[in-house]
Amino acid sequence: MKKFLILVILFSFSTIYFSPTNIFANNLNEKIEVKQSDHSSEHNIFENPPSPYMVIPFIVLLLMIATGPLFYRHFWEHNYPKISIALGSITVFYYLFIFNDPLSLLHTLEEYISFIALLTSLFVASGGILIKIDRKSTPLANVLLLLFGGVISNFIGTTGASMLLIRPYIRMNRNRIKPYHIIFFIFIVSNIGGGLTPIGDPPLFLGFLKGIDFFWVVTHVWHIWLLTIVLVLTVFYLIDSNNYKSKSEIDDKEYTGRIEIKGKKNFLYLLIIIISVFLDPAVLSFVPSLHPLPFGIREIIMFSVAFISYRRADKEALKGNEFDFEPIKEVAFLFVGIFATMIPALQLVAYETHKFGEKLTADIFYWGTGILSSILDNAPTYLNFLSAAMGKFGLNIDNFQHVKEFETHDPIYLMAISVAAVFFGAMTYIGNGPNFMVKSISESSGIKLPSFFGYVVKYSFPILIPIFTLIWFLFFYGRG
Amino acid sequence: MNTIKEALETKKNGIYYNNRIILPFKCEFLKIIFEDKIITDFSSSSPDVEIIEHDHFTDIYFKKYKDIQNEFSKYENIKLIICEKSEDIFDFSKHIKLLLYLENEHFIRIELPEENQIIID
Repeated sequence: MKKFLILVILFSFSTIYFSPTNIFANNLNEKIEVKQSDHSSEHNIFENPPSPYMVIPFIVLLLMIATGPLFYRHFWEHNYPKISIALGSITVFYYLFIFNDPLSLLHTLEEYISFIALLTSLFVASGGILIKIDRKSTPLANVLLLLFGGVISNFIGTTGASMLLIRPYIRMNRNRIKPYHIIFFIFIVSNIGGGLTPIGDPPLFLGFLKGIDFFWVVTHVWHIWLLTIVLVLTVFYLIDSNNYKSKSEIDDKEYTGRIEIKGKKNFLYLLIIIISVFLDPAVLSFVPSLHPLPFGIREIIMFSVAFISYRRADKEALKGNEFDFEPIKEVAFLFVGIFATMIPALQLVAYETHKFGEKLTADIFYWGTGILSSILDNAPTYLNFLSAAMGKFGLNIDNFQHVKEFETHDPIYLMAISVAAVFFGAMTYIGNGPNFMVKSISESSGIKLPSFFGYVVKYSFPILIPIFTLIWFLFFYGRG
Repeated sequence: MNTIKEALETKKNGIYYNNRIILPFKCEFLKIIFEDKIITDFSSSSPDVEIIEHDHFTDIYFKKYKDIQNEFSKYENIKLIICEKSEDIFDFSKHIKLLLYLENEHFIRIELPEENQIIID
C-alpha cells in the first residue's frame, strides 16, 4: 500500500511538472516575476474563482481529522494516508485539467516542502535530546519550566519544545502529577508560547512562507503574548499551590537540583535549522535559488540535518524519549491533503470577502479564526482567514507584494488572526499538532487525561475563554 | 519458572505471535499501557485484552489488533504494572513496573524501567 501511495504522490507531482500548461516551460526569471509581481497569475481569482464545490474535499478532510482520532480511531489510524491523498488528488486533478492553473499547485508544493522540512528537522533533532531534572516539583519550579518551554517554543517550535520538555516535566512531577499539569503544558508550551515567531507555530510559518516578515509577529504581538502567558501561568500557580500543599509531605526524597542533558550535540543541529530558516532567496538575496526545483538550499539543509541527527543520535536519548517517526509521518500525510485541498478554499474565501469585506472587522477575524482554530487545524484556518482579510482589501494571498502591503497598512487584522490562530489552538486536543502528541506521551506514561469534551468543559472554557475574552476586549474590540 | 523475580534474574524473554504475548511468569495485572491506551479492565468481557493464565506462563491477547508488531517502533514498548502472586497487591511498594520491547524472531525483551523512563502507577 505504501508503494501505491508513493506512486500516487510521484504521479501527482510529475503531472504538475510535465503538464502542457506547466510553468516550467518558463524560466527562472519568469517564475520569480510570477511570485512577486502584482498581476502575473494566470487566473485572477477575483474575476475567475474556482468552483465552490471544490471546497468539499477540504471540508471533508478537516472534519475527518477532527473526528477520526475520537470516534473511529482504529479505521482512521490505518487509513488516513489514503484518505488524505485521495482527497488531495481531486483538487490536483481539477487544477490541472479543468481549471488550468498549475501555478497554484506549484506554489503550494513549494510551501508544503518547506513546511514539512522545518517540522521534520525540528522533530527529529529535538527527539534526540533527553533532559533529566533532579529537582523537587514545586509550583514555582513548574511555572519556570512552563515559561521556559513557552519561550523556547519560539526557537524550536511548539512541537520541538513539547517533545523536549514533556518527559522531564512528567518526571519532575511524578509524585503528584494530575491531569491539569499536562493540560497547562499543552496551553503554554504546545500553543500560546509559540506565538512570537514563524518557527513557533505552523500557522505563523505558513504566513512567513506567504511573505509575512519574520520579525513582524514578535514586534506586533509581544505585549499580547506576555499578558496571556502571565495570566495563564498565574492560574496554574494557584491551582498547583493547592495540590502541592496536600502532597508535599509525601515527597521526602533529597534532590541535587542538577539538570542533566543527553544528546547535547543536537542543540547544534537545532541551531543550524533555525539559521537555515532565513536561507531563502526572497529573504537574503545572496542565497542561490534552485528553481525550477520546488525546494531550495533551506529545505536541503533541513532534511540533511534531520537525517544526520537521527543517524548520529544518542541511542539512550532516543530510548528515553521512546522516539518514533509516526507523529511526523502523520503530519506529512495529512498536510499533503490539507495543502492541496485548501487551494480552492483560500481562493474562494478571498473572492467572497472581497465582495462584502466592509462588514468584516477585527472582532470577527479574532473570534472566527479562534473558534475554527479550536476545532480544526490552526494552520489552514490561519491561511483561510488571512486570505479573507486580504480579500477585504482586494489583495491576493498568493501575491508576495500584496502580502507585504497588507502587513504594513492593516496590522490589526493580521494581529487578530495570528494571535487567535496560535492561542485558540490550545482549546482542544485537535487544535494544534503537538496537543495530541503530548496527550499520547502522557497517556503512554500512565497518566489518564480527560476526554475531548472533559478537556474543553473542565479546562478550556473556565480558564482560556475568560483570558481570551479579556485579550479581545483590550486589543481588538471595536478596532478595524 | 513462574515468578516475575525469577524471570528477570534469569533474563528470560517473552514471545509474541500476531496479537498474542506470552510472558514467562504468572502475576497479578494492575495496568497495561499499550501505546497511549491505559488498560485496566481485565475481566472476561474486556474489549481490549484477554488474559489466560497457565501453569508456568501467561497469555495476553490484544483483541483490537491483528499484529501488534506493526504498532511499535524500535524504541517504543508495552508497559506493565503488575504484582507477584505471593505479594500484597495493596502495598504500592510491591508493584512492579516492566517494559516489554518487541524484538525480531518473535522475542520480547523484558526490562525494568531505567531512571529516565516514566510509568505512573
